[in-house]
Amino acid sequence: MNTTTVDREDLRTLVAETLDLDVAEVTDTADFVNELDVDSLMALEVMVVLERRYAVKLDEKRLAEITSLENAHRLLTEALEKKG
Amino acid sequence: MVSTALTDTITEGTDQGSRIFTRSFPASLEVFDGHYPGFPIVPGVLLVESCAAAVERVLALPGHWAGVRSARFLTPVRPEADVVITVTDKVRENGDVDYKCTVTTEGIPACTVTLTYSEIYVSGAASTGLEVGQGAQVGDIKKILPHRSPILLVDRVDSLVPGESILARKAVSANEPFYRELATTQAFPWSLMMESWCQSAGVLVSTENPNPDVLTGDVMLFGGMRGVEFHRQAYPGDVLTHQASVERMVDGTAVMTGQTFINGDAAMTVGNITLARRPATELTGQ
Repeated sequence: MNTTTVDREDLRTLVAETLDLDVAEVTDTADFVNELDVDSLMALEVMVVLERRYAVKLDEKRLAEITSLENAHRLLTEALEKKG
Repeated sequence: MVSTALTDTITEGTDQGSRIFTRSFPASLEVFDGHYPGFPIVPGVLLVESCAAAVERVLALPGHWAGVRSARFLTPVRPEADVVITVTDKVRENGDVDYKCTVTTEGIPACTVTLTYSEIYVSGAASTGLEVGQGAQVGDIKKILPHRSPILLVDRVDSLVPGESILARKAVSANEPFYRELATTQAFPWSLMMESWCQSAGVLVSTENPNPDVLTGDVMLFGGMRGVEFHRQAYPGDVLTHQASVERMVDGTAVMTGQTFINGDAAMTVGNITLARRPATELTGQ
């Protein structure tokens, strides 16, 4: 198994669960803040949940970059590649 | 006479087939004396407790309230506000039954809560790596937290590593106001065990930046919780030992995780809880 792959559908389910949304609402590009009403508290919670599930450490400075599923996927993939 | 009961004021109605419950939080409620002096808001855990009371009226055979799968607090509820609880649906996962509740206050969403019910309490992991008596000296907890009687639910800090972890305790007593209307053989409410854990976590995140007064400092708000599991109930005479550690802390918002023990047995596991400090003026708009 390639450990550096983040399954996009798994990630979508995880994000939807964390944000208390239907999976269908979390489209690839739906903006977390403007379209899904994610506030700074929820953003931090998403970050912690992602770190726990994928066993990576994400840089707090990049919290603002987690604006959509697509961006979260990219950030996680990068973090996993760095981890090796 | 002020009421100390947590959920006796719930009334039931129906709305298009779904069961709705209304509860009021009169300004005379004793908990407002301490949460917070000069700036009363309903503790988030009491909204959760109210949801549990509503669910337990919906269920024929409730089993045990076994935990909080998730909760998210959206708007603080002020005294005199009515809240409406709608028990929306039921999901089964691994034999557990989940009930999702939505809570509104004056028509605005206040919180969403998903509660887990189970036939039995599942045991929690035993304590690992608790180090008592290490770290910083804390001193008077009232100089760190804004909570006051009857809702100051941390008695002593055993150890604290700033920015990392805390070990604190709370002795449950028949003499506290919540037992005025309860038999001493009844369990300490889960909501108060959660509140007590959160306050311990609050000491940890506030120790380097104390917040004893919400009027000049910040209001400590409950952002949400996830994966809270109940294992063993507490009774008068028990000492709760709370262990909490910081997962993430950014700009006054902290995500914390940990456990509560009674005599070394796990009583509660906290997957994560989000706490936030916000200036009171931000909430009142004044």
